[in-house]
Amino acid sequence: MASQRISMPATPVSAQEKRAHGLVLGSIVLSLLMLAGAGIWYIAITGIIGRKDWDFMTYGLGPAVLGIVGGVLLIVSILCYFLVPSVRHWSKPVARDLWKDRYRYSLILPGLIVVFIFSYMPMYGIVLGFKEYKIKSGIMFSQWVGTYHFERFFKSPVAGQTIWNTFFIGVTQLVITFPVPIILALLMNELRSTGYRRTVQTIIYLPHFISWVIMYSLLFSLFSITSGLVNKLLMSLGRPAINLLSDPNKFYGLLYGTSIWKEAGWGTIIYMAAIAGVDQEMYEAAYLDGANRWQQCFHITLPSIAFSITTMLILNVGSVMGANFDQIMNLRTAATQTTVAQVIDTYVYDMGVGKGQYDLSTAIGLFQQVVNCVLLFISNYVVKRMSGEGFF
Amino acid sequence: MTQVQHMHANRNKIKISLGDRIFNVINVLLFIVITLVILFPFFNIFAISLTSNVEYMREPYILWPKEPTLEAYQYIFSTSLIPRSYVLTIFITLSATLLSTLITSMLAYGLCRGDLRGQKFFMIYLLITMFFSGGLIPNYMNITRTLGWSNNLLALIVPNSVSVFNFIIVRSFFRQLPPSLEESARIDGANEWTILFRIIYPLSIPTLATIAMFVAVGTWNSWFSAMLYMRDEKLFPLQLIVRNFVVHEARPADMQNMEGLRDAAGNRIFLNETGLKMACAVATVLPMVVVYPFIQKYFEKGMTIGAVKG
Repeated sequence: MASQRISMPATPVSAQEKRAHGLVLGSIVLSLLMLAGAGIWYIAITGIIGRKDWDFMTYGLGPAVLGIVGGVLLIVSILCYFLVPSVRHWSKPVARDLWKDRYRYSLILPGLIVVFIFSYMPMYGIVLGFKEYKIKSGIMFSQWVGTYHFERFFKSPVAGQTIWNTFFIGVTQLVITFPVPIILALLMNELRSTGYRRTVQTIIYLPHFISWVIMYSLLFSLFSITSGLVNKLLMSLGRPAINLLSDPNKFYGLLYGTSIWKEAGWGTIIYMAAIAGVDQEMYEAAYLDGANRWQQCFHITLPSIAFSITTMLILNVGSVMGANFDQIMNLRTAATQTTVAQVIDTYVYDMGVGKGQYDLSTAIGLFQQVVNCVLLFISNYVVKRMSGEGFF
Repeated sequence: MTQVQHMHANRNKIKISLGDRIFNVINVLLFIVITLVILFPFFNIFAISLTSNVEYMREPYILWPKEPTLEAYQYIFSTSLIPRSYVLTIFITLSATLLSTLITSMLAYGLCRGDLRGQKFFMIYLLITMFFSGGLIPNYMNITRTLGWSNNLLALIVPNSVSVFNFIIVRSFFRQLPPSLEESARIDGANEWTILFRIIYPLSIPTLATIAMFVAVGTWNSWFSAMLYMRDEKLFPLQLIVRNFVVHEARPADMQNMEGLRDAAGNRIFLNETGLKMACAVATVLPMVVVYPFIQKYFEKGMTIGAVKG
């Protein structure tokens, strides 16, 4: 099949045929450029003119004509590609492959459409970050304001704190929670009874499957200042209640604690799988050489899973800025949500959904996306260098 | 698993020193503590949900009620809100799971052999969405304005039906299947749809189950989309009801009227707020806890494929 894809014309190709081929390809490229140009022209001009003064015949005709001409040219040149005899050398294998794989194209079509509607169509909305949004005008006819929203955000005192919180929470949470599953997996591996280990595994994976909403309910039942079990116990012993859920000073501890409780067990899966793959003869050889369990653990098990550890670490670094939106949304309270618990994600939500500042919110969201993208690319690059196989 | 068993069988032959024995005991005890720390909160919300208001007010604290009662459950299931939301959440979860598994696996099969024209374009087209999206507000406007799906259950079912992560898991599984399977069917004149449904799907049930479980758990636990797109309380999934009730402390409109509550003797029953909240939470988490042990192995598998292959 691969050979069909790069099949060369069997007969020598005349100069005239080469020229025709170049012409058809050139007109496809040209038509695509025209379509893109028409789109950009439209987006730009609607943002400058505004809905009130908008007159299609004056401003819209240019891009509309360009777009229509581009579209027609695209269709015509694609038809030419398959129908004009002098480019058959190139188009015949393409046509044959397209026809041969028609069922496979029909299989992937629904998925491609869903991705287009729900991932690509919203990307147009990003222009909102550079406009002053008016409900009457919609995304299209709202006026351009350039980087006004970005400047507004970065100049406000909220920005520094929010960015710092996001960074601080991401890094400290990673540093504190990351080693826990590794330690758990090593210890679990030392459990002698397979049945007991399976039971432990079943139980420690469980919290991963509950939502952060339920997680809050569990915390509430234990630590609510008035009705939580722990506080009731403390009060019946004559001690003051602990305000775990809404004390700003305890918020980060709450984040780390709940993350470990909920996800550490789940995190052991990768390491348990890696440990199961270690060659057993190494342990036997080490035992014969007189290595005890600690030495076996540190010199065989740990180096064997080092690759998994590094991969997981790098992956986590890639999502360090804002991987815990759901957690913070459910654990923040009135006392913490504008201070210690305010991260970029929640700020985007508060500004956008809460206060209806769609434009500002989109701009901040875009800023975060760019930061995340850079981090992801870096982490993926490192993984690729390490293992020769990246994630994209 | 067999390797681990083998390893432990080998290790058990080895003479165990005193230090090792002490370590073993401590290790076993440590994991007993860990499992208790994990299980106790679940036990606690269950206990509270079974406590009557009288006992709740009387006792300084309650580990397990002396007279467990199902009043709170009787009440929440007597309102129209919770039963309707239950049906709704099950419907959303099932349809999202079915749709997503179908579309994702079709996509994965179509792109699994790597020889389709435009293959590279399609892969990049999909992978871009993994690390770049419109963002919260553009997505919100796309669904509410462009598509007009406010208060429409489609907004909770369709948007996440292609998960690139799941796509990669299924695709890497399909790639491991011998190509001869498809080729012999193709020679017999079967088209790709027939091959996928008749030959590939029956061989891929564990993998499909894995991604179906990922989608099902994600959908069952999601509340954010519903909060964005649903205005009508009648269309709220369970998680959102529990969130509004417990996190925002706002009792659902349907639970305001409790005057009709009477016990067998005709006396009015009072329910305490916390018990009611916890009954809702238990009702929401119960299906997950019940189903979970059966799906555990699929998850373990999916996680390892996902992490190894990315």
